[in-house]
Amino acid sequence: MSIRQYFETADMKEKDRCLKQAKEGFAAKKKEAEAKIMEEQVQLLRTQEELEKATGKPIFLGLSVNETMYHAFMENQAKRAAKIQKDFNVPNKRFWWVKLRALCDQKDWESLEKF
Amino acid sequence: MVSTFANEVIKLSAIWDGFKSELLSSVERIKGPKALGVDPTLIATLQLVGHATLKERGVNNMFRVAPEGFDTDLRNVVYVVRPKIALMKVVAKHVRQLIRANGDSKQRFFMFMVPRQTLICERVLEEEGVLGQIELRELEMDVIPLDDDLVSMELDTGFRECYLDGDCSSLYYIARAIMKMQAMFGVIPKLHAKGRCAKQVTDVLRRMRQELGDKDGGLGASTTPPEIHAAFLIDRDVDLISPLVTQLTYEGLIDEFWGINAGMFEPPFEVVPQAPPPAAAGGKPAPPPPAAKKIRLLLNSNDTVFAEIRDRNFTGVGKLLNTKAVAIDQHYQQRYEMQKKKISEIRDYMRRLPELQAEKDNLAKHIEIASKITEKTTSDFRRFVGIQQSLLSGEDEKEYLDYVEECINKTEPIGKILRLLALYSAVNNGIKQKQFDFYRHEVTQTYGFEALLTLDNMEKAGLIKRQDGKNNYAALRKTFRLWVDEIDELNPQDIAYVHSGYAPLSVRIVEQGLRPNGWKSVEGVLGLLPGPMIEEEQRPDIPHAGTKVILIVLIGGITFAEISALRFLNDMLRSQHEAEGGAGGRIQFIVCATKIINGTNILDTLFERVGALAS
Repeated sequence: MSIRQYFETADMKEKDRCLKQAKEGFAAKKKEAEAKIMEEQVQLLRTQEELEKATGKPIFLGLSVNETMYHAFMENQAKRAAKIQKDFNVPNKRFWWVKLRALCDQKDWESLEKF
Repeated sequence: MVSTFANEVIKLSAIWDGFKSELLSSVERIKGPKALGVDPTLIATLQLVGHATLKERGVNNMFRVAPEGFDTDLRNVVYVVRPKIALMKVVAKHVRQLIRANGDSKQRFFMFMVPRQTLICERVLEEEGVLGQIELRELEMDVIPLDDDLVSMELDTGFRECYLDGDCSSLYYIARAIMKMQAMFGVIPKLHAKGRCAKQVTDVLRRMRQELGDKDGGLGASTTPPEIHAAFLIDRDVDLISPLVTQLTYEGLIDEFWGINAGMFEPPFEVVPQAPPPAAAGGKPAPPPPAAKKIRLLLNSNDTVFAEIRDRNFTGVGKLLNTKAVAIDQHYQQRYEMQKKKISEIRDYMRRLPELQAEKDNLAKHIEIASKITEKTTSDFRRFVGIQQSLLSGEDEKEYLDYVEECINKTEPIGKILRLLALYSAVNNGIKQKQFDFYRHEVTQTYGFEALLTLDNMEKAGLIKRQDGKNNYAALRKTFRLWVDEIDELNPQDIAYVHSGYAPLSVRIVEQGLRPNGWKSVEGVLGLLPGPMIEEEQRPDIPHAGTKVILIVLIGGITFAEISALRFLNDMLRSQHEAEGGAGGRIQFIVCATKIINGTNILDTLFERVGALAS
């Protein structure tokens, strides 16, 4: 239920509260995997806020992990993208696909060559 | 327009005629010009009535009942809707808007609830403060004949309601529809039911008959032979595999790629120009430019070309169309030899010309559609099908799972991913916890956190399960011969041709039920599938020499491939019957679907459109 509220509100504090509540709900039912997803989502919002500050572009909030990495590459934040991979346990294969797509869209043929 | 079907075994179209005249007379009784607001899920059904027919009865405007509203100052506004709470709110808002715009007493409002008026909807209208303004009616439309062997209840969200929301109203509608058929065609002697919902339907049927009184349920004397001899009621969740496997028949592929709704296909590409489409009912103030005009094709057995190819595996369709083209061409060529013929022969030839012309037009149409299908059956598509086959034949599941992962990495449409996961779960009786967590992680990170809600719905509806160690597929595959290795798609010997190897479990269950010892002989394996199994005799059967009609009801919807498989089984049983000397009646299946479904549209009803997945 609180997950649904999460999507209904635009307020960041409220979103955090929903996620926290959802996490506690899952933890109480011993659903650790679900609780962890809630935790990751909180962390993702923080990462996205940081990215928006660093790039000055309000394009990150609400994106998926993949899209966040993709736009980080597009905004020349490769280091942050790599950090996301580590923080969110993104398998190498998927990470490469995202990077490949970004390099193509940037028409960065040189890096593609080295890929 | 609903067509009449020449080959009807029992008069299914009578049901539709009854509904149609009820609708038309209800509309006619409202004096003056009318705007008709139609529930989006009923649009296809209303199209079957025909715009022109409605226009004759003063329907000047048709619009979709949707939150954005619709402006009209016509004297009467009639809403034709399903009894859904969300829709009541939309209508209430619309009524208030119109009253504000056009004044208090200028317009009259009517609501036809299909197929039943419910108390809860009345309450919602009352709370919204518009109950006094709207005159409520009931429109008892249950089943719509789509062909001579197929009726549909067009319950678009039936699957979701039965298996996710726990809303049983569609079960009541099914029972009522069967009662209606029993009133017309006699009490069905034998009921075979498998599944939780199927059992509930038989319970309701029993109660309804008791309420009607006498031993025979007031449904005609028991001395007259019934027109329907047996009914199979099967829950969709008994067989979730079949709707999730890609259909490979002609009609099935059209549905998979573009969708067919209430027997109507709107090709998003141009087919050969037809006779001018029927005049529009002037629905929109500014009609779209002619180029955007959509052509609607009614796909049923009245189209003789379609009748021949619809149930075929697509592999053989091209060749068949070609043969047909040659035959028609030859027939046309005959006109050059007319001098040598007798007058009577010429007359015969001339008489057949219009028929031939229609056939030629239909042929051109289907050649166009078939070529569009060919464009879509690329090597990617073939790989996708091949991967499913390796899972279904029990060969290789690692390859399957790797493929799913690859599709996620390529960010292919989320619908495809979810359908692949659901199929895996249906075949293996669930996904192992570790794998489940992995794929959920991959899906949410790729498509967004919002996918979690849809995954949760799928889990609640049983479309994704967590495996608890038991995997029954091998036993099911063996007992029901779900996988057939050698399939000759051009000249099939078994129903498995519809998926090029996989035989729909649902149809195998019916096939088994028709054998001498019926379901009893496979009780153990059938018990592995969810829900109780019931065989009930409603009255003794009276043997007679006529056709034995068997009604097949899939609760939660049926696919075109399954229907094709049933038709094929029907033909096989008939030729067997003839080979055995043909004692007793020949068998004819009639399918009653809550909706014609495919894996994509059942998943679609479970989709939560929030956040990035809103569109």
